[in-house]
Amino acid sequence: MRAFMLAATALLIIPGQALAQPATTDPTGRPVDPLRGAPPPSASDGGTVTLSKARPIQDSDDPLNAFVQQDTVDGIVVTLTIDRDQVRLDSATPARIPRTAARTERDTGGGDAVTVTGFAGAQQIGRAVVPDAVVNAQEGSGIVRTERRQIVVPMAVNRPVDRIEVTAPATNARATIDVSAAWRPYCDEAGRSPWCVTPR
Amino acid sequence: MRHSLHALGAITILLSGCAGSPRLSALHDPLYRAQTHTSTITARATEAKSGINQINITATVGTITACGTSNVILPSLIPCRTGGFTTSLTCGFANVKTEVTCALPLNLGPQRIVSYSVTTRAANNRTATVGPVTYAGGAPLTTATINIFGVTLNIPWETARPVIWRTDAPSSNTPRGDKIDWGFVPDADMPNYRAFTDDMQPMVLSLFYTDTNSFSNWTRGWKNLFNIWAGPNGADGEGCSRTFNSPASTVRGAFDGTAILHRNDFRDCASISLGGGAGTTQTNLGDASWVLLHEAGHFLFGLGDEYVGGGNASISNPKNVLNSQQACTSTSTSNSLPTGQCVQIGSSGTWRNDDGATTTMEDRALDSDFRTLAGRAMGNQVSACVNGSCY
Repeated sequence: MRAFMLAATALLIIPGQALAQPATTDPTGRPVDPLRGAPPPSASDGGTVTLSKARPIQDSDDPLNAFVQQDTVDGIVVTLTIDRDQVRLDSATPARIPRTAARTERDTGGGDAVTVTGFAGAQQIGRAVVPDAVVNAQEGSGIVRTERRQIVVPMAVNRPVDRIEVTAPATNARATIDVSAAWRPYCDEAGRSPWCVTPR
Repeated sequence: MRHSLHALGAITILLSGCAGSPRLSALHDPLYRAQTHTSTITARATEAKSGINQINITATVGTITACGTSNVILPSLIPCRTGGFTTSLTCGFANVKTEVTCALPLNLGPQRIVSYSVTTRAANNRTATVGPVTYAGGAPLTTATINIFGVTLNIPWETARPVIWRTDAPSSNTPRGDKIDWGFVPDADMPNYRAFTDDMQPMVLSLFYTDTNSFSNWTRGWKNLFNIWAGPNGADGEGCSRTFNSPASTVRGAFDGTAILHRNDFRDCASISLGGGAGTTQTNLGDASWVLLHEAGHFLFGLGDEYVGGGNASISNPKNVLNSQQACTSTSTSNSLPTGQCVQIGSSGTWRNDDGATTTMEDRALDSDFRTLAGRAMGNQVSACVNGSCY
């Protein structure tokens, strides 16, 4: 239970400005009260200001948390450097990712695309198609093909990915990469985690 | 012409233009600062006939988390809040018929995240509402705490940092692809992170709120289609080379497009992509906001340069740069544009529809706009967003 320290504060109604309210603390004890030390609220044109008593919100009732819960899905963010026909894994990070970023098929407008397919064992469990940033416009220079480029791929998955297959036709790049290590932090510390890869 | 680089407080989200309905805008200032600071939410309202009676600002402030709850085990790229509390400020007015303002200053310490909504009521009892908008302030989150069956994990973590994040109440039928998530990150040449946020502020304010030139008509008019985010250090742009070290690379996964803001002088470059791309923008130019929009034309909207010697290629819908006169003619016809306006871009072999007016993908001019085929492409982008899927 949070230890809010809310003092009973009467409504303050004074012309043009109001007084700050007492401090509250967050669950770790750090001061949260954003009114303390701030200039008083104000109204133009001789208006009055009325500051209501601060009201705590349970995390589970916070609309922002509900928004994020609905707006994200489980997945993995893979960062790749593609250099001509070579593919290197820069990072693979399990994360809740925005639902829109995780959709399988993006409209790449007929431009170049990178496709990443995720596997758990032999089973395909995720796929993402993202634009390939191989064609660039440099001001005053024209079209520049960056055959060495970095691509970030959010991919929705509902369980750990062992490996990914990457294809980037723009430079004939294709690779299979082991990403199972990405899940180790969850297994080392919490072997019962659903995100712990079970040895096969 | 140099844009004003001063941070301006508030402004202009027109929610209602009907006679007798109040007009309301609200914005926080500064837009984002990764240090303890005072942030002021300022609302402005006008109703010229009966006057404004009241403005109410409701703000919820709490601590940023990576959303580790019993239902959310993996840390999130976009932040949640813990320990929030809500306060409400009501400003009362004597039915004032000129613009009135109501301001709520907040002292934001480390890892704060704020959501606010504003309503106003005119003397004729008509109302208008803005928000909710969510933004971060103070030192960023650097660790995610995850609880798994009683085991607590603390892992290094960064979330995307909301600058202007439109977080309306969730609903099962609300399309979530209806926003363009535009990320900003500092280049390695920025002196420090504060310099980055200081440079970003006037560019974003100008582009979406305060500029009065025609080049920003589109972004000012469709500002509500955008979420604006900041990312952590770790990006490095130089010419067309762009690298992102972790965690900046991972956070980038939350963005539809990423602008690397830099101060050193080099030719800006952007991927020609429909989302998922990135580009650079030099912040210390007098027309930096215009440059930012032009580069976004490439990496957010797939538009090509329409000037001689530029990046004359396009994947927008429709393409604003075509590979032949025939393609220009047919594309112009299908978009109800005069085919006689099809002209070759120099001797490049690529073509465009040119109505003779200054246009943002050709002319480095504040009186430019997205015109002809680029204008059609931007209109289609709006339609796609309004229909729930920007990309």
